[in-house]
Amino acid sequence: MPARERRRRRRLTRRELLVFLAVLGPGIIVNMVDTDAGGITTYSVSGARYGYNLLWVLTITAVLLALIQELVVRLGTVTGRGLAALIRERFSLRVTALVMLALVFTNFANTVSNFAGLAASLQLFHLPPLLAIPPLAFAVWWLVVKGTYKRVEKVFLVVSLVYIAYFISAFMAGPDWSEVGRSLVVPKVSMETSYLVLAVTNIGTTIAPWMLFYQQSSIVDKGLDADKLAYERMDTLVGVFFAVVVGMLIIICCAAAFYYKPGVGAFSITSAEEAAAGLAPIAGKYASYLFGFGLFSASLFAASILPLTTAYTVCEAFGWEATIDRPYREAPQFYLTYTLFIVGSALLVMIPRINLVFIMVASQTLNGILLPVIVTFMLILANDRELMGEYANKPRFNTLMLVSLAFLYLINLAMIVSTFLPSG
Amino acid sequence: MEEGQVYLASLLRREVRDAKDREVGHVEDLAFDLAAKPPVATDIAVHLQWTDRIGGLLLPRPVEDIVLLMPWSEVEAIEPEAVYLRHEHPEFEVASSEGKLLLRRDVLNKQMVDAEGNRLQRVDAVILKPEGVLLFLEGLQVGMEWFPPGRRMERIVGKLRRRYNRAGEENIIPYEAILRVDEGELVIRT
Repeated sequence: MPARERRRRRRLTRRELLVFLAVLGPGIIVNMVDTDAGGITTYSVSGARYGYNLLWVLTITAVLLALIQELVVRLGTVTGRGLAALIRERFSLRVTALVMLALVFTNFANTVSNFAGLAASLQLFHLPPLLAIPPLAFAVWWLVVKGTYKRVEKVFLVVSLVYIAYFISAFMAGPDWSEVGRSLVVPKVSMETSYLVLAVTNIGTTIAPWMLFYQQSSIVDKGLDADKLAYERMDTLVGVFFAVVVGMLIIICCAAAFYYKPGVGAFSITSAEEAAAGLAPIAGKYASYLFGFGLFSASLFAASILPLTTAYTVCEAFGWEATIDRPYREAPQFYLTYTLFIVGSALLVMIPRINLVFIMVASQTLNGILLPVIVTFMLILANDRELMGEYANKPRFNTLMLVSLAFLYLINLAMIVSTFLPSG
Repeated sequence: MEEGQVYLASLLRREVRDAKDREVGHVEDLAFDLAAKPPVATDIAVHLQWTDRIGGLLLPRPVEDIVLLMPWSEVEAIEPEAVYLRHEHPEFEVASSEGKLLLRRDVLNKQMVDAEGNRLQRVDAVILKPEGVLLFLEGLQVGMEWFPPGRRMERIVGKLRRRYNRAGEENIIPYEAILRVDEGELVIRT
């Protein structure tokens, strides 16, 4: 190859890299937020109770997540419309209203669970939640209400870096890496109810309906079109990779610290904050602090994204102004939804001795019903040649998606049933 | 909704019968001329169960599930149980859909914006008025009995109804307020 041609190709690669960096955001953010308080709890309990035996489940989850998010990326970049808008235009006001109602409820419950995670992590650092939650809630509210999308996205991308805490915690716990490697690809299936429930919950907490709406809306808000499809696919793959790796590291950390250490009551770990506190005598107080810091940041991150995605989705569905680049008077429904979610969740968590179990279980059940329904809608939309043109689904991708969808229906049915079973 | 008015949604999927009273398909969409005062239906899109000819041309083999646009002159009558066509299946006149405004595809559930591009709300229903065999566009409904429109939207609709001297239903934007239909959204004069 002549030197000039080589130089030209190098320039092209650099240009492509710059475009990729500009596009970077929606895919990474949505996948990192996915590792929220509920996710961290599930991964912690999985590692503490079953060691590395559930790692293979996350390998399958990564494939499912990548497939579903590819649909989101294609729908967003090709149509230039949010998922809620597309559902509304295709499936009528009544169907949209039902979907929105379910989504608002599940998102609110998830936001409450993240504020609860925030409160628990604050206690690890001996900070009283009653004093710390109001200013933190105000900070996330302020960031969106007073910010622009570019600024908010930059802050969120920087916050994503806190997940490095889990890399360090996992290494400090001293896992057997060769055993980890084997468990990633060789499934160790147990027929114990508790094991099966955790396997299903791992998939269910990693793929949530809200993330599909959020990612597509932020792709549209960022103005990414079909020309940027390849870059946004890359952004999503990077996000899926890191989200699954973080999930795996939490499992590895808790497995090494609790499951493989004789005398440590692995089954006594029932939450992320217990896992963080339990790490101190085993892996040192810094590993415990890092784990707790990860929980704090993830909860805070999710507590701001979930209200944002709800506001986006509801406004898109009903046609109200929905962008963080507009002032309050131009998008009142958007800011009201966002504010009510943050204030309501923060207040609910601050009520002493409140039992949030019912709202969490109900939200998990609704999530389980909603996800396959939304993916079915997406599949119908992605097959609409009038809407998607040359980017409509190809037969091979459809086969792959139909198999995944059948698996999702099965998994979510199992998850709904499991929420009513004692998990042991 | 006032007496004599119908929802577009109530016409969609209505059975379509040919001159021999055979069921041939269902209503898929309606094309309207927005420049007419009031806007009038110009074509009907019929989802045919099958056909072996298009515009008098014989196809190499019959095709199933095809949507054809037919000029309104093809419509014999609109009855509550079915829409009747003048010709026998498959001898229908066909029209090109190029440049046509289709109510289901381009209007129903679509985003409404003001002249500055600010989002208002979506079109929750399209109101039509049949007169004999003709069909006129009355306006665009915002909100339903179970889903009230926002206060801002109520104010805008009230203002528009006063401007165009409309009494009665408060949540219907008169057709005169539709400035144009751009790709994916309707521009409304506020």
